[in-house]
Amino acid sequence: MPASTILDTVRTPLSNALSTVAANVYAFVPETPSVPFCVNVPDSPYLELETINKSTLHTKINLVISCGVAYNNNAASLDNLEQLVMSVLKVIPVGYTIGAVEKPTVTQVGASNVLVADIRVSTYYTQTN
Amino acid sequence: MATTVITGRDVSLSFTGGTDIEAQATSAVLTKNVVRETYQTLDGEAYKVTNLEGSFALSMLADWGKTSSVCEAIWTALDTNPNSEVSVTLTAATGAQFVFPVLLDYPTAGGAGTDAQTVDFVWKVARGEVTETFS
Repeated sequence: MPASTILDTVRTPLSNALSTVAANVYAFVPETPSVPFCVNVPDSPYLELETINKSTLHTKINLVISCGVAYNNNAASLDNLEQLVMSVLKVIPVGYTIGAVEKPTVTQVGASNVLVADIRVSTYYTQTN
Repeated sequence: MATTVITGRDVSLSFTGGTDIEAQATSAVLTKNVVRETYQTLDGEAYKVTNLEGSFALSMLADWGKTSSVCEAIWTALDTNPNSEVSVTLTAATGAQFVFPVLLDYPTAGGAGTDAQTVDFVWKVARGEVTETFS
């Protein structure tokens, strides 16, 4: 049995679960995300070892789902972002705790301004092999 | 001599029944203490240990619905026989092992919306019987 990876076990399944939302979904930070987008980004702290024993590695993983929309019009952008965040919250799979949704901020991606809000989520991962 | 540090990650734990408790447990603490009576005599204080007691505090992430669920195993064991004793083996670190029977309590179910469901137990160690192996 091949060793499990966080990408295959956590980040990609999370991205697949988000595939029904009306946005480009990435399991990792792409060089140039296309708006609207949802990107799984490691949060800080990223990995927390909460369980006893070390013969099998169990770790809590903290992620941020960064949701971004084009920032062309202030009112419409915020509305678009709110709708995107709500659609993401609906499809986050079981086994994830959902924390706060952070304040939307304007971020420059390439030559474009993007309105981004972060959704904090956590889950648990067991390393096999 | 070098300073030794042991952490909760050095602890290993197993129940009778084979559930994967280590995947769920976030804290496991065995406490054994003496019940010591103090007598005021004409010669001053005198002491007598009248009993040995123990408790085992376990905090874990709830695992309802999981195959070989710890919570479900405990619940079923209590439904079957609430007086039954379950043997627990706790290894604090290599060379220090404790085996003891505990009297179970039902796990809680449910939790806050913002966090993982957790279960906290404080189980009585039956008769305070802890069999330790130190090497």
